Amino acid sequence: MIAERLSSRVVRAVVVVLLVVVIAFPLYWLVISSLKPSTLLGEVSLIPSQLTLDNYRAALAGPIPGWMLNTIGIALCTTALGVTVASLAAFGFARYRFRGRTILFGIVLASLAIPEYALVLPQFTIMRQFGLLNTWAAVILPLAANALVLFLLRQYFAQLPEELFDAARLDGAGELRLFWTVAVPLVRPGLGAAALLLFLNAWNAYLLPLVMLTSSDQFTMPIGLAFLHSQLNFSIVEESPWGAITAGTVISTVPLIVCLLVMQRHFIGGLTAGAVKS
Amino acid sequence: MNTRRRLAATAALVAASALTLAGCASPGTPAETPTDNSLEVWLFSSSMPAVIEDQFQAAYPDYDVEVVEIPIGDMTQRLVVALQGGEGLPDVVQLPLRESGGLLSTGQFLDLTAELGPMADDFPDGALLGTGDQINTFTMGSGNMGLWVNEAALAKHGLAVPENPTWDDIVAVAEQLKEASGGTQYMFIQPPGANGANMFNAFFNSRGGTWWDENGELAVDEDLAADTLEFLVDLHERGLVYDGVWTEPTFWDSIRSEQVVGWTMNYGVGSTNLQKNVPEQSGQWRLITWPTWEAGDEQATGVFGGSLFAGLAASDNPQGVKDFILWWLTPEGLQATVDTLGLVSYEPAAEEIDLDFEDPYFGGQTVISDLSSVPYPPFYFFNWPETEGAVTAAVDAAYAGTLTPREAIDQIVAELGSL
Amino acid sequence: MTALQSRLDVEPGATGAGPNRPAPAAPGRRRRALRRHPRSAPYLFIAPFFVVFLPFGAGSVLLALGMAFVTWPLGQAPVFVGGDNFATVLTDPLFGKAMGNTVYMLAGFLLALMPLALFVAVLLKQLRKRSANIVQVLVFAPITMSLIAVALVFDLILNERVGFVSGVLAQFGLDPIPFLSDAGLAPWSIILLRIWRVLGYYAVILFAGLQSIPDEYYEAAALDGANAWQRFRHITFPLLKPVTLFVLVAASIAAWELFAEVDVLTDGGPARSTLTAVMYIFQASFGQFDLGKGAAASAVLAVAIIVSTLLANRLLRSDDRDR
Repeated sequence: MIAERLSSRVVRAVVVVLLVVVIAFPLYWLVISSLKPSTLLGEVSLIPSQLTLDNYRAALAGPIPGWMLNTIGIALCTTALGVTVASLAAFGFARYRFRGRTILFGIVLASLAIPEYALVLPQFTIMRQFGLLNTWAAVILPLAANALVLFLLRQYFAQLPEELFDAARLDGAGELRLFWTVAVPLVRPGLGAAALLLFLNAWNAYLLPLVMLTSSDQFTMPIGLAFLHSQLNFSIVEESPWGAITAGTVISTVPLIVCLLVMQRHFIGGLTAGAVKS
Repeated sequence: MNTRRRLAATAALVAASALTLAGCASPGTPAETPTDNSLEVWLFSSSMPAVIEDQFQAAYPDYDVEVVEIPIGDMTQRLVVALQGGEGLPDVVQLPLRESGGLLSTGQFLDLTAELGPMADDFPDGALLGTGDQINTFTMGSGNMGLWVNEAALAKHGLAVPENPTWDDIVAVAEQLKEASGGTQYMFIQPPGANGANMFNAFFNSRGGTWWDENGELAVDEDLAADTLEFLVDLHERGLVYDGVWTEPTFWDSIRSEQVVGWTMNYGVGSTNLQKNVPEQSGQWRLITWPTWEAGDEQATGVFGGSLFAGLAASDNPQGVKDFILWWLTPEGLQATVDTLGLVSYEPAAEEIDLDFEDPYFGGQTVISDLSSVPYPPFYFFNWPETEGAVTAAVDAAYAGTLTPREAIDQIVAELGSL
Repeated sequence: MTALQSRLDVEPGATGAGPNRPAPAAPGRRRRALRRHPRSAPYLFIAPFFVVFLPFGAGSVLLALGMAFVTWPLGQAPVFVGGDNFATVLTDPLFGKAMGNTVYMLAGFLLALMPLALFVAVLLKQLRKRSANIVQVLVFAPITMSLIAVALVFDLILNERVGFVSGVLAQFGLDPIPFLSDAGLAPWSIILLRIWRVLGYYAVILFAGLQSIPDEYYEAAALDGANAWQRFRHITFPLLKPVTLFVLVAASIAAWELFAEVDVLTDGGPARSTLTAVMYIFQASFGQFDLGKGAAASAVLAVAIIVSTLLANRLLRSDDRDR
């Protein structure tokens, strides 16, 4: 019995280590690449022969901090707005029967089937009609009405037992209170996952900020890095962009990791055992 | 009903706060109403904004210039959205030469025939671009190809490229190099993907080949194309080609370690990137202008790309657009072209600015004027996404051995013919 | 479309039947319970979402569908052409090739991703909190990174001539592997990269789903002597089904719309072996300026996506019936 448990522990440890190595190896390579002078970038050795912080200094002195702030701003606004509207709507869809429920939900979900490259021109036209071109709202609003997030949260709300709500209704609680005090605390892991999804989506968004925002100081991280990279292929550049790209990439993972850890601590991992009880 | 009112109030509050949230988070400047002297320029060359803001502004202080940088791969898309979306068009846009054919033929660009027409003799054939009888602009930073060779690395094996070489001479040197190095050093590169297709196009073009004529009609010499592809596939099969691309840092390591001691490339990527990535090899490299196909042929090269500025026909400031585009032909503008893009296509430039400057990296060679001294036959970039796609797929297949060169060219012609 | 909604429709309070679900309430009782809320309540709950979604989501979808029926030369007014664009797209061998490649890569991707993501999620749950956090951050990190930098790193590691893997293989006297330059291998390299990028992301979403499963069930099962597989089979999998369905749907939609990885790594090559449907749409719309053709291809792709979403839904439902 003890031997069996021990061996299963060993197996698990081996699997974890293997997984971490496979996934982390490219990450490690990216980090050491960002610490190498650009002339040594291609050096194929596990331990670099020379390390420097120059890339980080250059990245922080250049336009990258500005791009980071733009991206963080857009991602935070998208997440706040997106979680709010999607959790309310998901609750509505999951907990009530009403006329048009299936049609409306189907329309929302079907909208995911159209790829963004087909939507970009229509979105541009609509933003022009609303006079929102060249504002963050033009990027945030389409990203915040995220059908996937609505779907995810509905899956969570639908799982809750109806008895919980019946009991609260008997106590005279209003519908919004049911949502806020009964349902929301029980779907916190889902809200965390939803927030993460929205933040990440906004963070990696390329097409919308590219098309909706015009001036270069409104670049978001992905566009800025693509711009640096595109210089490689055609013209005279002052310096190799790889240092800024690698260092910039490492820097830009930080806000997302922080977002993950915050979600992890307060939402995803925050549900006390046995909270979902009828 | 209490609940309903509260619910309604809260929902309204949420909606309102959501909208304000989105609204307040919009520090972007609202689109300004264009005035007659504003000039919005979209460009992808990161070295240009400074030049425009300093030098062009100095020449035309009255214009209110706004420069918008856009990654090269997104420029066309951005332009299409603004054109069809009916707002946000710039006055002037920098376009990659390769993508210009299809765009200019839409007729949405400012006609500069009156200004550029009289200068037709000052440009090589094919450098003035437009649609129908209309001239819209001219090629900048022309992508004349050359052969860049690490002479010092060759000399270590007692090898050298002869004067006025033909491609046969170069192949002979490459064979000797392969022999001497045990198959670890190369004089040719063949990048994967679209870069490889464009490399093939440059070789093809240097023999007078083109896919399209100036009217956008299919005009391909299939035998010439098949011969050219055969030449490259043959190099491949003999193990004389390094498969790599200059956008990858590993390529520069192969240069550094003298695996790659020769490659065919234009000025912008060839010269500048060598100096930047392998400064320690200064003095070792030479430019060999494009070899001929037969001894005694007149020298001609191929085009790898280039860029241009085009004005939008819908611009509110057509005079500003003209001033801007023509400024690049003034001595200051020509010098700025050399500094930011490399070659100038405007032939009188040699008299106006110094193009014969000696480049110490290349042992004092006058790289710019040498490279521009060999022109390329006219080559027209029509239907470019389809053409590049068809050529890439067929060339890939020919190198992989799944198609013979002749079959590959037939496949390209069939695809292009069905457009 | 109606089929889609009714299939994806989850009955209130009746999803993911499992141990934590109370016995289904008598129909009469439920109706009474549900009647106690004001009729406007659900509409007010969904209103804020639709205020944003209708103009910026649904509106653009409608316009995009409309675009499929017009030809729209640059700078001119659109002209109605009926089904011409669909005829062009459906008879274009290139579109067939692109759809075929997409399905091929989608299948390989999903078959590998789903078990792996479930495995990682369960693993995360079993680890102690601190190590779970570290592992979570590591597996999640790839999705946060710029693809351009990722492509660089993969080149440095996988490059046929000078990459790390080739060097290691050479140590053992093995030939280098042409990961991206071989038409047969390239799609698999793309799948690998994609899995590396998104595995942690989907695993974290599944992990969040696991957190909603009360530990009591596992404790009870352990008392009954259930082994790890039995616990997964009878507790984790059924209770996680709603979130698993979400991940399956989200991952398959993303795989149908695969573009970025291909754009950066292979540009559709070699010899079009990685040309995807969205790449075709992109080239039609913004390379050839044929917005109608691009929109028609998008509509065809959308039909494929909707059908496959229904299939995914049925897959996880029919499993229900087996038990």
